[in-house]
Amino acid sequence: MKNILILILFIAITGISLATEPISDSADIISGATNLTYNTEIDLIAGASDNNGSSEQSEPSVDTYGG
Amino acid sequence: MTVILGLTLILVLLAFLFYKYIRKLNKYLYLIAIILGVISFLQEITIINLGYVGLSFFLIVMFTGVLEKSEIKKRLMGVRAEYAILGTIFVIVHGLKFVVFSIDFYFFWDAPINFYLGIAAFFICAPLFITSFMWLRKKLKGKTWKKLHQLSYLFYLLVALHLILITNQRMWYYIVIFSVYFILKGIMIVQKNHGKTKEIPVKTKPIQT
Repeated sequence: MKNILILILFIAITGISLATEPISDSADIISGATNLTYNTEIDLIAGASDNNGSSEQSEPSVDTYGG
Repeated sequence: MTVILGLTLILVLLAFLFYKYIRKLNKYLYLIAIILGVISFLQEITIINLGYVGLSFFLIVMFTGVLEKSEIKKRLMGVRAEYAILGTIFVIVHGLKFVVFSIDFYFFWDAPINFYLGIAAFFICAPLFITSFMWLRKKLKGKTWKKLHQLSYLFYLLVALHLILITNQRMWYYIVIFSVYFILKGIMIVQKNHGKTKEIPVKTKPIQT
């Protein structure tokens, strides 16, 4: 009974995390790039990004203007 | 969470399929873990220095303790000490990385509470780590070893608080996982104690006539 409960717990959590976290973010963190899903304190303290994604609105890049 | 749970699943499968080899080749695995740990320590961001790999190992070590008697429990118990040692090696890397980072960025004395909880967990895990090695375990009495390793519950609690108080997107996952663990462990302890009190025969004085 307990084993089944633990199995259900882990399947449910895995299912929810797969549904809510983009798989590309998981791939990114394995290759060493932080992102919104796996934002780290290192980024937060260093000011690279915050919980909303970015501490400052970034300037539009050249690509945005189609250059 | 996908990374942590994915790793956990892989490690469970490895333990289930290769538990004999993991036990046999444990020293080589520790060496590989140390080498990977050193490399990871020198890198900026890896899943090892972020603590995900260590946590995956510890989730298995924790939940193995609350499983019911079964083939999976038998096999996981067989590699529990190895997984705990490997987990600790990776957790040490995570701890050292963040301590160095905190010193570099001058926030060691001004860090969030979860940082200090992590450090406390790190110190509690040190004697557990050392006494998990078989050569040292043999030198200790069974009861002493068991008593010392009851500290692991405090370690799990500190790890749980450390993770929950980061208050990131994974907070609710951690709350659910650790709550289920502590509830199951609590039930187990109560059942064990209940069983013990039942076993003790009640001594009654013979009625004198």
